[in-house]
Amino acid sequence: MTQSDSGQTLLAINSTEWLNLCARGSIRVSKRRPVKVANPASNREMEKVFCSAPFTKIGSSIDLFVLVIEDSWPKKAQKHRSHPSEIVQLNLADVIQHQPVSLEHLEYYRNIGSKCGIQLSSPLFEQAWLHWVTNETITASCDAADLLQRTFNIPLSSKTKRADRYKWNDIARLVMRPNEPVKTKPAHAETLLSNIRKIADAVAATRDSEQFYLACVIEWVDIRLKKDPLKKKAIKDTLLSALSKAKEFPLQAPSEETSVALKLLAETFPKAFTEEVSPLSIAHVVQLLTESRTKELKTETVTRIFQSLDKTSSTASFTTFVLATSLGIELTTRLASSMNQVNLVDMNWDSPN
Amino acid sequence: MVSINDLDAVQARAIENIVENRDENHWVKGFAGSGKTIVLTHVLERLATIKPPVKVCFATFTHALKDLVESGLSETAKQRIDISTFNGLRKLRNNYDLVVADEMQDIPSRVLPSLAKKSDVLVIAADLDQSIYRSACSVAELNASIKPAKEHQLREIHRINENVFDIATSVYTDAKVVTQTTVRQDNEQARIYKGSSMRNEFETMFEEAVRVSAKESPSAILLPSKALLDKFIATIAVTKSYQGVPPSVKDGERPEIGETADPFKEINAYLKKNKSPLQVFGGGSGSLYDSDFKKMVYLMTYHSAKGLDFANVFLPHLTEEISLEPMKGASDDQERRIFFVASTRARDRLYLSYHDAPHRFIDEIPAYLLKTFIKQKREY
Repeated sequence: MTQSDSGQTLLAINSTEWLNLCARGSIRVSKRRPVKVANPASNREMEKVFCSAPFTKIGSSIDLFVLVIEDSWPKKAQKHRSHPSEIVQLNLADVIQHQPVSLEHLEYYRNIGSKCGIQLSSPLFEQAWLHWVTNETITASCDAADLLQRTFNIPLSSKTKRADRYKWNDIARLVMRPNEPVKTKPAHAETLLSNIRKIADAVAATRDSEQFYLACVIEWVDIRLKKDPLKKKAIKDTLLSALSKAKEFPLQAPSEETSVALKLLAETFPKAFTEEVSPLSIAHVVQLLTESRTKELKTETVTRIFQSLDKTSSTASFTTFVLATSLGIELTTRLASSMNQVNLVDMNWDSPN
Repeated sequence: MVSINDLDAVQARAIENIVENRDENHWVKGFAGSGKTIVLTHVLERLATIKPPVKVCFATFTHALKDLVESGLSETAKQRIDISTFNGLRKLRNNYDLVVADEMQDIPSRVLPSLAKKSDVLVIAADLDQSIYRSACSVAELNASIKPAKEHQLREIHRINENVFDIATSVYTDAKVVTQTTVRQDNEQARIYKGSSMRNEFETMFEEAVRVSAKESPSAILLPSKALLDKFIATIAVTKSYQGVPPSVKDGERPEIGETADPFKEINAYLKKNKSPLQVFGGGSGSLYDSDFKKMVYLMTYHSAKGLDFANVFLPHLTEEISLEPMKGASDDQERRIFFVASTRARDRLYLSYHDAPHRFIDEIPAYLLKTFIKQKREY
């Protein structure tokens, strides 16, 4: 068994390949898949290793292995009869170490491996894998956003610049991990995304009615400026009247009176809003993110919201981006495809469990 | 139903393995909310269309669970598969190619022989940690009924978040958590509330249950016994000025487990008449589909919540003197298991409450897992 001091040859495979390798003693792989890396390997090098693996669910550590293989293997490996220039045989004897990608699944696979006489090593690349997963997830989220924006004819985030200090990648990170601050200074987008749960809890009673729009904005002003709009004498009566009437309407596009009250809030508390974090976008973002988190989002809701937006506005870009990054690439793809049907197909999240 | 593409790797592998080796016994294992029922539902769907055709029957514990599985099946599968509760099994013919059974940890001993008559091949889902019925067969009986079986241990918990997982396992420390289990990360924290009296506690939790419930996201209030359901309804009837005296839940006709009945017909008619969002659920009474159209708060015993899940779960009356298992002579282990089952019904929000002194289980939950419930500043 040989490995040079200066580097090592790594091959990332999925669990199906690994189980076959254990059971059959060999598998066929492309000879281009193994990656020569330094010892220890850098995160950048490990990204090459992981992205050469067959496609696995991003973030699922149960489906990924890293094999340390002999440096000489690709040259001496037996060629496959069907495609000898590309496909070669990997035998158990060519493998120096078998590592599941995370410690989490070591015991599970150790038991399986031991039945085939294979000893698993502790995972050494877990940190590099987590780093890769974060980057892949953010990239996939941004791809999802582009897809959804294309579906609604909204300018793509990958091609538009933001007016505030955030990068789109930071927004994606905030949607996924609201408790982790990004490097830019706290501002509207960050405050909104890290307080979605708080606003959603406060306005829970209004979820089925048009009151939801007003309640979200009232809570937002309180969070952002520490001011209670219902205590502001000049607008209190108007707000209470709008709230009372809004309770009678199901949650659809805001009625005229609700729109007037939202405008009044924006004018009274201008510092609470930006071009994209507008009164309406706050309610939309809270609804979309809450319903996608609890798997209750409906295609009708998405259609209604995006039909009500000015497609060229930065609010539209922001809202679509936030929804897509919250749903992730798989669900966004499904949503976009159901949007393209003649008759809307509902998202089907529910299942007996 | 969750699409085959959205299943985790272990679930997908289990389904393939069961369908491929359908002449062998299989046991799907996993923590509460790990998707055991989803695996069985996919297996049923696949078996319904396989060639040559196989004769399959599916059985589970309650009507509510049977309906849930049925709602996840295609029309073809529903036509080709016989579906029953455990108690209804005797009405089905014998000689199926295989029987698929869910919630097997609670199958009564007396039903095991009739299950055995149905087929030589069993595919079951069972989590012994969730066994809460005393009439349930013993672990030895269960093992004997299915041995030898291929085991499929599910490892991703999809329903509950990390916070609920930590709460449930801090009380039921014997829960089998395989080291590779992963659980949904969320920044949600369960709430704890101390009422100044029982009346204050029930009223506060009821109001919050109504507040956070929405169409398709119902709240469920779980209590250990029917006597406490009565107390709860009586308290709400007084505080909310309902017309008339509420009929007793305990007086309801007592059906055999799994048999069709509507034991809470009278009390539900009373609540409906008073335009209450409350509905008593269990034993065949109440309908989960009602929450698709309006705000609903389901009231039920811990036992009735078995196998179900709700967006918001409330566990009131966790006071010092209360036993979570109403039957006399309950062991500490039984009580812990019941709490484990009840708390793991929560998909989104979990509330625990008490008055006077807290139940010992509350003291055992690390403080950082709970946040004090405070009423929202504004009412809408």
